[in-house]
Amino acid sequence: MQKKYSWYSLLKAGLSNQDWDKAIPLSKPKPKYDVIIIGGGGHGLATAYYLAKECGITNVAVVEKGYIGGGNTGRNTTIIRSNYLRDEASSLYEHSMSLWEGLSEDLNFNVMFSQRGVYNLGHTLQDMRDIERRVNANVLNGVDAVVVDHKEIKEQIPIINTSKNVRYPIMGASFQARGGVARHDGVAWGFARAAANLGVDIIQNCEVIDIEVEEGRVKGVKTTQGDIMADRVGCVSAGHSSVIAKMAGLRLPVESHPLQAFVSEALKPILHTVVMSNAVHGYVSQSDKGDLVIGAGIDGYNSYAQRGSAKIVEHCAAAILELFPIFSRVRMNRQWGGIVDVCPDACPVISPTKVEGLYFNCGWGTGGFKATPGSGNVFAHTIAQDKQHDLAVPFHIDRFTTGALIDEHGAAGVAH
Amino acid sequence: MRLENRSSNLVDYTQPLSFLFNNKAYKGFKGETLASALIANDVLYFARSFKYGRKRGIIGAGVEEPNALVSLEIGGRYTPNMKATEVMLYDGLSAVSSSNPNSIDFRAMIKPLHRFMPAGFYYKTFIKQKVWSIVEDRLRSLSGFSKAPSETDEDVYDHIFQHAEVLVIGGGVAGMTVALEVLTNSKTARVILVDERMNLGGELINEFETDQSSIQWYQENINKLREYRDAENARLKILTSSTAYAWYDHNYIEVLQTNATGQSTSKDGVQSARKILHKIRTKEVILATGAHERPMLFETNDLANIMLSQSVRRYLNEFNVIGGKEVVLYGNNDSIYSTAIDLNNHKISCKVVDVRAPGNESEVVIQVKNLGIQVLQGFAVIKAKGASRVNGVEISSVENQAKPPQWKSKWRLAGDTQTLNCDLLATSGGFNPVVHLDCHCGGKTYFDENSQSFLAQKNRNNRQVCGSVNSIGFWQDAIIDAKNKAQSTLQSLGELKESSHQTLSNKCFNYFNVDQFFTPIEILNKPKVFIDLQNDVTTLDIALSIREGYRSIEHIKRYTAMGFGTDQGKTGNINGIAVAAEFLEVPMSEVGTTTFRPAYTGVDFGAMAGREVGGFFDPQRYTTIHNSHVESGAEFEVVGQWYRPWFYPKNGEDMHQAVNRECRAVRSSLGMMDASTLGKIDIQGKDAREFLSRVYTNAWMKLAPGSCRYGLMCNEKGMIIDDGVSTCINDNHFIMTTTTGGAASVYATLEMWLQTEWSHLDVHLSSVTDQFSTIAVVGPNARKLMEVICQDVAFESKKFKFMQWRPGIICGVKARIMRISFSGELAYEINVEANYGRFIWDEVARAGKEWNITPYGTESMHVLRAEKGYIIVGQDTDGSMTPMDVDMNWILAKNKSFSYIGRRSFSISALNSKDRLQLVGLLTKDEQVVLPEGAHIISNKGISIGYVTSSYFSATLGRSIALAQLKGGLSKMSEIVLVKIVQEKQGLKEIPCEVSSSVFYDVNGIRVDGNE
Amino acid sequence: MFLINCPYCKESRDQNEFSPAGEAFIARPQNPEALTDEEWADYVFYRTNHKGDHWEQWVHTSGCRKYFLVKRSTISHEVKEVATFGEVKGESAS
Repeated sequence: MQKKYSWYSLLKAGLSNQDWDKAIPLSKPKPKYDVIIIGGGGHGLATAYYLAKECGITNVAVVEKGYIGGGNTGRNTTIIRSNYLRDEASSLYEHSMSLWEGLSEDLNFNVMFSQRGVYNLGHTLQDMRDIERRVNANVLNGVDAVVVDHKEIKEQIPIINTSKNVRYPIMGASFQARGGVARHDGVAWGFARAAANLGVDIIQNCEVIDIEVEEGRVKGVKTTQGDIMADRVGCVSAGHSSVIAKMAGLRLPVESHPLQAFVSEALKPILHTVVMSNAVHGYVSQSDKGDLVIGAGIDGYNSYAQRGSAKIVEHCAAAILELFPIFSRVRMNRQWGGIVDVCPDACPVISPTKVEGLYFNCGWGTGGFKATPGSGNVFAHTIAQDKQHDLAVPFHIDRFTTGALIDEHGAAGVAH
Repeated sequence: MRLENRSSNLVDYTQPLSFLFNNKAYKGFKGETLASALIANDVLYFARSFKYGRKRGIIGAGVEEPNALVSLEIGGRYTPNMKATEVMLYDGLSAVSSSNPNSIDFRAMIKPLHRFMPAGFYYKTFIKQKVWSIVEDRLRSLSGFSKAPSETDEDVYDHIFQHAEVLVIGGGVAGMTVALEVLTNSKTARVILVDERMNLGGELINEFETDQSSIQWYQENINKLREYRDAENARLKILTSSTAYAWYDHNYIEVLQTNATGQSTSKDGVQSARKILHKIRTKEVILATGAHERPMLFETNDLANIMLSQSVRRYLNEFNVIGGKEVVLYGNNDSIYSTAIDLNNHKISCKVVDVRAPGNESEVVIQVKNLGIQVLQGFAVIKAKGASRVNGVEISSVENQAKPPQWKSKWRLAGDTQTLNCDLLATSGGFNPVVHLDCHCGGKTYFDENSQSFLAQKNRNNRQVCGSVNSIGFWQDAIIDAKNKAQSTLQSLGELKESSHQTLSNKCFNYFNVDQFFTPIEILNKPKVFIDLQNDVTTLDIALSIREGYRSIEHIKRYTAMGFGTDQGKTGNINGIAVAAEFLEVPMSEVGTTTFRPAYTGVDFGAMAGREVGGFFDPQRYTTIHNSHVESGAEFEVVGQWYRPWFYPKNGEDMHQAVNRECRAVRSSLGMMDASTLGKIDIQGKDAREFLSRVYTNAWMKLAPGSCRYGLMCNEKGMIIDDGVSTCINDNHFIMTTTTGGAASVYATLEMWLQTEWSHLDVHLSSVTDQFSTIAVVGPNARKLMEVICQDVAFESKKFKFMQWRPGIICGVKARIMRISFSGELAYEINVEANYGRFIWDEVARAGKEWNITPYGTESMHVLRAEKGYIIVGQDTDGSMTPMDVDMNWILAKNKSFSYIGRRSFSISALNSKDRLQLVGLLTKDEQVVLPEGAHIISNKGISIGYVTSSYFSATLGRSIALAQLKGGLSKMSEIVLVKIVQEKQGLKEIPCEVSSSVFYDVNGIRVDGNE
Repeated sequence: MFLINCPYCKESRDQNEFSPAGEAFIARPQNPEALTDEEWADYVFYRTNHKGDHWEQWVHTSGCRKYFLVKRSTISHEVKEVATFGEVKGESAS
């Protein structure tokens, strides 16, 4: 058992130079596990944690090609909200939200979940209709949400430009007070530490190069650190889901696209909440270090390169200036890209596959981080019981065949 | 202080300037940086550090500076987080420290607690969510550097596209040479030479003082470059004060040029760009980006007046200023000796502490010794002494371990310590080649043992590196290297068949021969050995990170925040990697670097956006009739990029009053609407009918010329994506109309089908939305009006039927007149060549006065169409509705030979579920209650079973009407359902409604023929 | 920011002028009604999403408006080949 983090332990460490336990022990693969999780991002680590904690399966390995949390977990803008339109999606994200609210305590690791609220801005009449519809759906589903008008937005965010004389004036917004941000690395590390504490092996620098399938049943994986056997394999390798699927002879309804983000140089606190605008394509919050953390749109082409086009980032900067003209002389410090895998209905796949014992959790598109605990939780149960968790049922891969899409895109935009 | 003998090439001492720093007045000169002017004025403390709030002085002279962050000016020219080293002085400049070093600081006050706050402190504390939510905001107030701006930027920014065969990044000796060599040996190649400094020459300027030949070389070469630049049809562009900050795919490089750092760019009312973003596409890239010096490590290495050796040298030579009188130089390479010589020339006392043992000495070392400067070889500084500024160093002799493992520092402390007094400590731990850009777009680095640094990948297509970025430190070698790389570049361009490379001399006088630059192991375990000065990351933080299992360099970076600052770890990261290697017990090459990402140095958001802000953020599309709407006082609605009249308030009407009036006018007499924004696609070719049959759900083969037909378009998922009326001009010619917002995507989709799947069809598409103006004339008196303005068409109902069109002349203008209706009233849509739009609009308005013709906007259009149950794609449907869901089975052709787009999906199971959301009408029990759009219908269990898509008060019907998506709604006619209002603002209640047909008015459709 | 050589315009132009239009060689089935639901779903939703050299469709939106084929590495983004429809067939896709 690891030593718990507490004031007492910090004090003791400070006085006595006693050392901390390894949060992330260095593990080498054993020959066989009950479950192998491919992908050491937030979702994969959460899956392993909940397998061990809630399903009693501790003989688990998480195999990660690089370092844990190095993919989209460490590259996203960390926005957390659960105000999704469709019942299926909002139930899943709300499940996640409720886990977020107790996560630091559960993991004994401060993931710095900061409920500073999330605004989704509306700029057109149709945006506002969609917002009304979504907020009402949220309230009926027990998800906190309100519609606010441009005056209320201005009161809460004095630096936002609510003038009518801009290209896309802000008409109103939905606001979820429980939404916010978290420290992305902390989420990966917190889950890793807690999972390791329960006996999970976290194996880094271990790339899966093939999946062993015999007579329709998964047998294990071949990796750069040797062959590892397992009864069940869960794949949570966003960006590379199709690549892993191909190893098992499967195809997926996902495509990989670059998604970019950037941060400014650190400023004294000025923006205390999260502001998102789909219409102008920009999302912004300010981190606890003071950087403005800004998310841009995806590039339309397929890529595995973790970099996108300049025009996307520059358009995003322009969008942020539409909302916050005072940021014009603030400088971008760092810019990066991740690879998201996108499903046609903008909802994930959390599902068994045609290969027995092989499960996929993918297709989160641009919305994966906020789902981390919930995704891991329902995926763990799905693997453990070999039966989809109730909340995961609508996210079966077969929905693309039956037509039972969830279609979180909502109104595809404007018409008339 | 300033030197007495001043001979700067950069500073103009005839132009004194006044400026403010932290509200205190100082004097400087033109050509100086803010940093040099403050050093001249003996200012020591520039700001405080991030975590511990320690007072910090300046360490660098360029963009690598981690400490000296200031904000400039106030109001619309306020600029946060500038490095004092990058700010050129101007008269009246006003700068403020990002965090005031001279005021009380909470972070510094809690100094005794720092030992309890190791790296990762916050992960281990405030674990209860409630506690964290309270604590976090307090902590936040301590974060950040400068305050954010509070006003809108006064200045503007430009983007310029540039094209060249060769882009040379860096204008030092190597960059100048390589650019000239390319220009000289090619007759066609266009070259762009960029440098982040104000002047070309780079570090060569440091040699001017002591080496006459360097001045000569500089003058000759700069003159040649200028000749090329100034020639007619010049092939050379020189961009100074320009930083190449990002390298994207296919040799697309972004360069930010600064025209002013703080002054207003507005002169005589004309605004020039504060910064210009050059978007450069080039065939070949040559990196001559130089190298950044890295500091040596020792205890309290963050005190003020501990600087980089080369920076001390730059301040001395470029600006004739220095921060101390008694200097200790400490390092592991020859750089400190060059600085020593320059200090000696200026009669500044200095001592050299060299960690390397005596022997194998280069010329410059011997030279320093011959000057009588005290040189202590085989010594290491173990601690800087002083409270906040350095006043001495503790040194100790070191011994060289015979054969340490590869990752181990070979230095060990040996013998007693002694103290040297000093008021300025200049250190050099070797140089880091500036390989950042090369790694933005896929380039890898490799570890070079000789220079103990990461170098750019050896071979990359269309890219060369030369000079010190290639770890070549000797001037003559840099020139040879540059010439060689120019040849390789020309070869790659196909302008040279073969290149013959000269060999470099053996590397004497070389800053890059650092052997193992690293610090004795004993020092690493001391507190306050700072790696990242901006974020206060120490060697112990790195050690802790590794002990806790955060072993990857990326984890170390993220756990300790090393390199996250505005300097991006330009000086510190390499030391961090070396420290990590030591603790991990692996070679540095195995630790590797963190990923280099854009931007190399900060880029203003304003510069990224360029002119695409405000009104230029997105095109604003107006119809040719727009001004008339403005004159009529219309309110506008943004639909896609278009501005459409929303309603036309009169005499202080609110929207509802205006809409009621407009609707009544249409139903009772005559209205007119600008429908020009609807997408229009001209479809020609002998397979046009076949094409329409494939993309629409209904039949088109028999539609006669002169007729129109409504069509519904689905995607392959079977979901409605668009609708509109298409008109048969003749057998080979149709005009399709689309929704306003869908026009572009529908056109793109149709082209895709034609070009990728059905190229054998003889069909040609042309988007003609902008070519026509469309005016809808609507109401029972529409025919009378048409007869007045158009004499050559017979308008009687029998001759000109509903869903037909006729060519006609209206007020002398050729027009296509469609008899189609989106309101259920008798209506004509007049299509004329776009530029006649306003003219015809005015003519219609004039002629319509007799019937009190009333212009109406989109809101009334919505009400009128809702009364008739006509859907609006995107409002009543949302990308997940099939034609069956909107009760339009009638529009699905059964007998088409071709399986039209989306048809196959209609048979999959979920699309036939009885539980689908289906479009119905809703009539509130209380006729005066208007349902809020977006309100949900609930089941008796309180669960959402649908929602209101459209809802209006119908003045015509004297009651409210609504359209809604309801689960299984089409089989729930006449049932009572509850709409639940859940937002307090709207008044919590449940509103009983009857499910009805979505057609509320004129159910039998007799009004469409008017009152004939 | 890619530089794409439009096979119709015969010019290398900036990516800004083009729009990506999805994976290439996904032919619309000749007789959709004859397909099973699985086969139809495979056509509509499932993608190869290849990591490596990948054939895709682009359209020269702000140019000749022609759709064409690009073989591009999804790892390095290097454009290996451009072609008009008909010049290359699906079988040659890798």
